[in-house]
Amino acid sequence: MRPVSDPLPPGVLPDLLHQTAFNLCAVLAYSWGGPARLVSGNPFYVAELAWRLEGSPRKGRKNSPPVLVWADPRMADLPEVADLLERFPPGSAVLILFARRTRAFVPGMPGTSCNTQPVSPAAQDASGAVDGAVHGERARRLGESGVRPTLRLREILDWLAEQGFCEEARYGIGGSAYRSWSRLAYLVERLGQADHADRFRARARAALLVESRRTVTSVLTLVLTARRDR
Amino acid sequence: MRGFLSEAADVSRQVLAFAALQLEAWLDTMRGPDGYGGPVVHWWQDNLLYTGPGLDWRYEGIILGYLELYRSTGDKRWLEKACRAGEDLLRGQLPSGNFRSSCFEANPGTGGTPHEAACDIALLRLAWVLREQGDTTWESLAAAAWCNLRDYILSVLWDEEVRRFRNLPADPTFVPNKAATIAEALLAWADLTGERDVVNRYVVPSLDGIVEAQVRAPYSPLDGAIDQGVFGSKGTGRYFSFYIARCIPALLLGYERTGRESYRDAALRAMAFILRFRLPDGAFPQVVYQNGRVNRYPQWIAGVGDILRAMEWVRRYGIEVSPEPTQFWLLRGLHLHGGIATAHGFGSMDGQRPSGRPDARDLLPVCGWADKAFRYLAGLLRGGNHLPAVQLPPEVEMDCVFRGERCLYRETATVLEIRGESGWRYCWEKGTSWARLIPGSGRKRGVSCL
Repeated sequence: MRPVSDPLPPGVLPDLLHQTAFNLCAVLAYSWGGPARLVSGNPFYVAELAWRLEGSPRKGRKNSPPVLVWADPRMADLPEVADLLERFPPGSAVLILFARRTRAFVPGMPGTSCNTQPVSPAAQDASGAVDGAVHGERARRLGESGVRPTLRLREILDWLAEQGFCEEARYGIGGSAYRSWSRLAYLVERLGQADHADRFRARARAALLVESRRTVTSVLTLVLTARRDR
Repeated sequence: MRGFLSEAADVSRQVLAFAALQLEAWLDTMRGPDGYGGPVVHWWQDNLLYTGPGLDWRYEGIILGYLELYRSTGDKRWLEKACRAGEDLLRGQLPSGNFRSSCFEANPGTGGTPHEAACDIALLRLAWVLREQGDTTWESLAAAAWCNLRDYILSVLWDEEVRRFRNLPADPTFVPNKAATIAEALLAWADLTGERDVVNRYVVPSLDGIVEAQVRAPYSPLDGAIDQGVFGSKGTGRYFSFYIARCIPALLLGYERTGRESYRDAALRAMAFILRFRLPDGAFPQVVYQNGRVNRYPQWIAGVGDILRAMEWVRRYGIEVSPEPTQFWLLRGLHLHGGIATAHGFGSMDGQRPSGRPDARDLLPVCGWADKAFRYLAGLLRGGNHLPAVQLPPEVEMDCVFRGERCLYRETATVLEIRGESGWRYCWEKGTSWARLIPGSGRKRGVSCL
């Protein structure tokens, strides 16, 4: 695991989307039952997830298969991930927290002018070194390309499938409906209609999490994969 | 299933005592190794995923409720339970002075407002009682509260330039109910230590800020309302009965300590506004807006404990207030297993049309709301009251709607579950820090857990 960065200062919270994603990540990791490992090149994700994964008394049931939480996957993570997966037995899981790089206007997210809440730097930071020394053909190909420091979700899932990890469940946070209602709430708030803004916010909130087939447009996506066979 | 009282009945002390003890027994089922846990639902956002201990405003009502029980009965076991809760806070205090997981609906974050100040009030009131008993542990409780006040609330949240407390370190909005909670904590510190500097330097400007945020329009129904937040000179135009009620004790305490009549007048006008919008069944709309429109839902049930407590405060000043309709509203929310419903109408937040079945979030008892009912009910007990023995049924089941699906809510002393036709939608084993999610269920139905 990479060194844990300092968490956010007290009173500075991730935005709602990231809070939900981090908590859901912890719930899925603990539901899996085994000890959780964390890999992420994003210091903010490391800071927020590390203590969530360590903070529970259920740090892993005895003899349960491990789960790897791979948050904001990047090229540079591939050697470490591949090395860990080599030692993962059947039944173990990889949980991917994928942040879609979007310039879409999402109230409460970084880069928008309507922030009234402290926000996370996550979706802004796309840096990461390229490291070609990875295990597995697909990983090597990705690592040596040197074109994109970050990975696409499809590429990650294909690579994991080559390692024997199949998708079990997928969750989207902040899909198109959420963003539409949030934008509308923001606009009518600017027009001074607080009552309408609150109703639109309530609708946005009801659409915060989306089902598996509609995660394509989500700002954040969680995918649970499990190794069924070697 | 939900209620056991009719409106025609008198709310006798016995009934209130029974309700307080039922809630107390239920609160005990919500304890884990490090404190009181459980899911959270709120107007701002829900948090059904993190279920570990929350060192937030739930400790205010829990500790002060236990102190009320101790005061009225003299039974040491209530004081011991208050001390046990106080130790949770001490164990969960970080080197920064903050409390772990103090953000309630945004847990497990830290630095929550007004939650940490609410914990400080509880610690300082408990320290007061212990000092009266000659118990030297009062010093460590007082020191923990002061550490939080000095190193976070006064150092980080206080803005010397505008002489107001900020909402959060990164948000300069002045939020009256939060400032009121901080003012109460600082007044408790001043009471305990005799230190007056904090009153003049922080409490007076904060209460002045609350008075400034109050609507002054004698012929308007909004007269007496206190804006939820003020950024610069602009208010949000939202008036919440619950949050306004939380300003009233601080204003009246401020009046008693400083003699400034403007604080007393503001408190009484605030209560007049709250009562003006009370519904016939004793409930309150969630928000009244500057344009006169009303957002009725969700209507707090457990949370009206704080509104009732504010009513008790203004009655001391000779104001005629009838708490009975709201007492009935509160008591109708009691579950047979001792918990109390959080609200009515979570499912109607956007459409404003009441729905038939309750939303699961309505039924869900939450420590950080139930504590307000517990504190109020415990405060009504008097020395002569016979305290009945409470035995909770092994389980309770209620029909509900969860994310648009008809479900069954089930709670026992060890588990809280929501079950749909094709399986579990939500499960929390009491005492654990995270809810349980059955992987794979998301494929068919989307998410099975919020």
